[in-house]
Amino acid sequence: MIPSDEDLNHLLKAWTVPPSPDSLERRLRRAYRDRNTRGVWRRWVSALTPAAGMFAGITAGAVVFLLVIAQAFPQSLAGLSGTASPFTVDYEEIEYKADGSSAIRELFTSAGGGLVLSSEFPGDPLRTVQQRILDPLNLILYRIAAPIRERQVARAEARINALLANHPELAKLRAERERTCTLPGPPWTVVGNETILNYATTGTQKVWMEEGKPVRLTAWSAPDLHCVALKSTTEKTFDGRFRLAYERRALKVTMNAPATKANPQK
Amino acid sequence: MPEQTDEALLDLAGRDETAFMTLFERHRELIFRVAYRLTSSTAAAEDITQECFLGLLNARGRFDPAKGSLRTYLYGAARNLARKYHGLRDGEVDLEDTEIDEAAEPAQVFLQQEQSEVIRQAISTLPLQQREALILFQYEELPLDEIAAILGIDIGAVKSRLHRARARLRRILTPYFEGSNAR
Repeated sequence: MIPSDEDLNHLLKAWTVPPSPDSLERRLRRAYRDRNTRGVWRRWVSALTPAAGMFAGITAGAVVFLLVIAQAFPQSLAGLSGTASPFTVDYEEIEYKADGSSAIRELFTSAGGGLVLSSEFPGDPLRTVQQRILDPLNLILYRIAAPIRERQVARAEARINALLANHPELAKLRAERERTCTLPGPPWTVVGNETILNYATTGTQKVWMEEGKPVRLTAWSAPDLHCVALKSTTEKTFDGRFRLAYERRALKVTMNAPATKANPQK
Repeated sequence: MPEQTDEALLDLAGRDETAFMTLFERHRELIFRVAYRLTSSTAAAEDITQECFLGLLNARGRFDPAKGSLRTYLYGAARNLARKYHGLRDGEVDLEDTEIDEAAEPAQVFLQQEQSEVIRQAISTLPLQQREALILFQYEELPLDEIAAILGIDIGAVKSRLHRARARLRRILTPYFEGSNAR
């Protein structure tokens, strides 16, 4: 169905713009004053230098403290996140080399298939240590931002619901997507179904160009786990043929909330 | 005290911060809005808005009230800065007649993100020249002659760009009106 002028105008009106941030006024005032008082900034820099030094010292101390804690008690900081995901998934990511060899590149646990709770890089202890500091920090930031994020999600959901109420055909498609984890139309194509860790999954595939060569991504997503991918593969082109380059697969699904509709962990 | 005109404020703006900021408050939302729509980026829209207003301080010789209002001038400045953001020089065209993969991205965000995002993505697939005309007409609701002045083209060309933009959007957005092609 080709949309009418009225339909198109109605749809186009839905594109909203955020208000200009308050910081813009402060930026512009600063730039205006800088323009009229060039040279004054040097006095500011000299005034701020001691404060900057103190800040750097405190930051360095905090990093060292976190490093010690994270090494001594690698699991202890994860509890700070306060994330209440209904399930977590342990993954491994394997890299396949051109000579046929393969190696585990990363082991990680994610909440609901999204937020990374902890990660480890076998064969790269330095990066593992680094991640043991960054992962908890990331979780803390995630928790701090949670109220804002939840408000935004609620607003977006309300708008989507309003849209769906006006367009029953969209509601039907959405229900279909939640049931099958697939979207209508290219570039994704359904390639089959597979049971992974006792969860039914739908495999979808997409090909795109990277540095002039086709790359093929295939993901197997589980409707019972909010369409989280329990397996995905990335194939790159070598000598005109696709060859497996990376594979990410779920090793374990742990249910955290009994209310979920997902199957219990077998 | 009667409200000062834009031109009077602009005369004072170089040495009077209050006059400068009054001009800014008068026009900030419309310039930010059009910059955001042309770039789809809040950060870029902030930069462009700031540059537009700082540019006014150096542009008193370039802004000619006889050729149009300050609003028209600012729209033109925002449009030129957005073109720079997209890596285009003045007068250079962007893929005006090149077919773009219209189905790919909007279809993917369908049902996953809010409708606003779908529309933003659909419009972002338009060639910049069509996008500029559409945004000024559809969202800023400017008359055709003012759009023509901002874009530096004649009214016929504005109409043509609008027609092509709407035709292309119709094609892109058609799947959102269809419920029967789901797998």
